[in-house]
Amino acid sequence: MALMENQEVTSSESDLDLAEKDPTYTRRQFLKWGIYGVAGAVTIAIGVPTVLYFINPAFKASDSSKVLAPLGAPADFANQTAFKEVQTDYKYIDTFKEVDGTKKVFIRALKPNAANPEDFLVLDSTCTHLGCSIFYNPPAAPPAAKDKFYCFCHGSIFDQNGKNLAVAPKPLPSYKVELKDGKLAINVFGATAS
Amino acid sequence: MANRVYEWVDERTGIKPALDYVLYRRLPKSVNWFFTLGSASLTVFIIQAASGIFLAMGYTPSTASVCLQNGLNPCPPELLSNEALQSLRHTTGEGIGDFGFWIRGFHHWGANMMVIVVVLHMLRVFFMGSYKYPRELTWFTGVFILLMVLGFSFTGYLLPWDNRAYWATQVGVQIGGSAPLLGDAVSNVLRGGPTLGAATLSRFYAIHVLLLPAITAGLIGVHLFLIIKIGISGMPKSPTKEQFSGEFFESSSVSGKKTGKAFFPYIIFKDAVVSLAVVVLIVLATIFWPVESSNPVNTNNPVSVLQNNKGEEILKDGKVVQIPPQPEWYFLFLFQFLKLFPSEVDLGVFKIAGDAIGGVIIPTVLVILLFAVPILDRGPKRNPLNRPWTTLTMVAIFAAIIALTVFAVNDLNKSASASGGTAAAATVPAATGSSGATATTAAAAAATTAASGGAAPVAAGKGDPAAGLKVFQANACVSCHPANGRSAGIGPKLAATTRDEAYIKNNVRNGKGQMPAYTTEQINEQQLEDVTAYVKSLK
Repeated sequence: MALMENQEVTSSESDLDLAEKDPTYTRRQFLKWGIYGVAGAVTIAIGVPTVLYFINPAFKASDSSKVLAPLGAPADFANQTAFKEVQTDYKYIDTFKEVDGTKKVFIRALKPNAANPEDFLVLDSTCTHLGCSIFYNPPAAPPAAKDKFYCFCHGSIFDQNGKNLAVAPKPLPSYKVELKDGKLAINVFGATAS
Repeated sequence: MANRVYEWVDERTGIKPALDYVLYRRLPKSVNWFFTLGSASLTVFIIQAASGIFLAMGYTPSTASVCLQNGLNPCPPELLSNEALQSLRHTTGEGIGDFGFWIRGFHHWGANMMVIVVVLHMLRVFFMGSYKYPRELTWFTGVFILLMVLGFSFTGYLLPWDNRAYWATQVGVQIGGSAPLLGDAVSNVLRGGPTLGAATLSRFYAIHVLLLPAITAGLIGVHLFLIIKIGISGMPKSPTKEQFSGEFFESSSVSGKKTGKAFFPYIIFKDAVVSLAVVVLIVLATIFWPVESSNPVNTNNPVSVLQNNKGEEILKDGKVVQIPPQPEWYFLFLFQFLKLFPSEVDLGVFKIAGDAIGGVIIPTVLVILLFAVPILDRGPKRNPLNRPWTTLTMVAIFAAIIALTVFAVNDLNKSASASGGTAAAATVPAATGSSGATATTAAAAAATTAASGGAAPVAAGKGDPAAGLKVFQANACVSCHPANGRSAGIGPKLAATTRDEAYIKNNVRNGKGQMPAYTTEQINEQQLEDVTAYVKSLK
């Protein structure tokens, strides 16, 4: 006996029972799975590219985020045993356009007549406390900050290696120094906690 | 007339029984003022949606440069702004006489109010145990809505594209970026690329005005459906009267009750009163605390300066308002919490960034716990006194959040009032490129100070501006007078000063307010002449 279109199918009946009773059951089943299939296909067709579009930046970020900004020739800093403040200007691509960037860092030679990139220490100038800009050995700083980094915001002090001595909770980030066209250069987006 | 329209619509939709059900359903007699916070949240949501739509009409999510003064080419760095900030300033207008002022005020203070009301609502539900069977799903959707509110805050905060927004987001993204393993991926997805820039602004804008409203509206729909379907829990019984058996399940399903107070007009009247109070607060805040932006994005200087809509610095007590990088007040606890962690924690097997623990792992665990509340606490008793551990845990967490916020505010206030007794407070030289000082050597300049030190008094007016600039930089004057004195920081703008030389010298020697006094050992007489000449030379 054929099941009427509007006849209710109670859940107590097993699939086998239904199939025996209703020769059109397989057609019903086909339609049901067909609907799920179509819905699934549409979701995947639209959803997968959309999600990939959204998370795409995660996959191609590492290379383009490297911007080598020159600090000067190694000879300029070869015997710079006290930190020297350097402001470097660079260009970088912001999404689809080139824009100007600028960064203040501190550099010193780790040994006399330094020549190789690894002989130099470059520290970031942003205080790890609340992000103010720090100064090296500024005249108006208290005696405790002599020959050290001092922040005028809350009195953070960092030593010659960027270690936090007062207020700030973390050491200054440092940059890996590289050589580019004979000049010392840093990846301005590549500061790492030292 | 209205009745006839209603009947006409009802005949074609059958809406009357549904509306009657919603309006005249009976709620427990114990429903009181505590139960108005949910509808107050809904009111604020509607205000946010409405004001947001109109704000969006005047806003351009673009980072492109704009010169504050038309026709200047090239534009001086101190006059550079961007389209997003300028479009917002244009929309906001100049004050209370402009309608945009009101719209922006509503949206800004509505956002603050939203966080307050939603959190209070959550605490009410928590302490009254209203999340218990059969209302777990209502709780889950509620926690989702809370997360959406925080998402709105985080994305919306960036949109003015002023310096304060930029750096707050920079910090937020960095925190996300400290997540173990996926850190870089997370921050890159958040930013839409390797740097915080044009792509980030578009992304945040789209999420803020399209994605989050759609999701939130859906969640609110489900939340409301469940509340109407299941009914409201009512006040828990007093601790001694609360019974273990029977009563719990019985009192939980109030849907279809014949007794109790009708939603309309008894309950909704209280809702309306509280919603009105909330709206009045938003309007008052709009009037008395005009929303100010800071200076335009400066990727090299995280300290912001409050500005009015014309791009002029706002003075409070004669001083420029400096803002170190910081999030909105309701995220301050997290900001402060992060400071408790060292930069790296050695777990023996591997090392993990402190930020990852304080900024990602612990907050994630707390959010999961918040979701799981109805699963963890399934006992039949709702009165907070009858489930002391649950109550104490929430009280402890909430007290910690408040304490951390207070500490954070204290820390930030200290920055406004300078420290160490030495020098004035914040900060940082020069907008991009505006200081001529590339590769200034503080140490070298200090040496100059020492070399030419001592020396006899010099005749007035004999200063050399060029030498004065070096003195200016070597003594960290720029930390309070940015752009080598060309714009205002903690200290005033020095360029084009009308003060005479004697005044300037006196301030250098004796200090004034937060300006430190400089001795002859720090700045000798010749250098004093030079720096005075330099300041006077600034046009």
